[in-house]
Amino acid sequence: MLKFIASAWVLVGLVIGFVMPRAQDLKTTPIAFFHVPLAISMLLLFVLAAVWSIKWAFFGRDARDDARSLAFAEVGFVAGLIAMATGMLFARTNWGAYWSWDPQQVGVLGTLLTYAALFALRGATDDEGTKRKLWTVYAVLGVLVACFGSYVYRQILPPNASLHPNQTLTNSDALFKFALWFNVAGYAMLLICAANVRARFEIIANRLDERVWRGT
Amino acid sequence: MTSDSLFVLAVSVLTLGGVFFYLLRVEALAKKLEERVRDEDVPRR
Repeated sequence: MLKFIASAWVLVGLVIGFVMPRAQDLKTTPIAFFHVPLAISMLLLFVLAAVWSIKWAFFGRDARDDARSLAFAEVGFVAGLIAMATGMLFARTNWGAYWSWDPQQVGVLGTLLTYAALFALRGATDDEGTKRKLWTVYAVLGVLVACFGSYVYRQILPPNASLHPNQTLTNSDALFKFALWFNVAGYAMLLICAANVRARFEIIANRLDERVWRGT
Repeated sequence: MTSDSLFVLAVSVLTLGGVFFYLLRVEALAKKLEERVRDEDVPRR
């Protein structure tokens, strides 16, 4: 049911994004209603991945929770890649270059590289128990890096160090903020649906692995 | 809205539609696999 609501929500959000008046000092404004929600959803999915892994570690050691954690992290990673790609297109039209070593760009790149390394580390461990224990640490470490890279890093720099507009989410006019948060909710729901489907495949793969080990 | 914007909106809607139907397809596949794994887990007499 959520997938139908999420898809309809995103569709409405898409149209809202296109009929909105152009934001001040920004060209190709509709990208903002896709790029920003994906970046926020990425962070949300990384937080949820850490929550599932903590649930695995402290509340029952259910392998399905670990599978969900991995799925949320993977879908968050893909959302981050798309956010970065659309951000580069956005940057090209607004700042004249795809990449300008902006603190926000560097922060998100650092976050994505960190997660890529964490996935590789998880994949390099053979024992399932050890893999899940280590993943709990990785997921928590990853979300700390993600929070720092995509939010804190830019806040601790001088106000004009970043080309990204400051406080867009809080200081824009009410209509712009509504359209932005409407889209954030839609994309977050859609990505959560995708992560749940990915988790189901991981759970099936775990059961098949167990069967191979049992020799049945 | 300009015709360029309309074109981009149409492409975006089609892309979203594609993503949605792919999600439905993959979910159906997951359900089928889950049922198969569950059936095979039942001990045979």
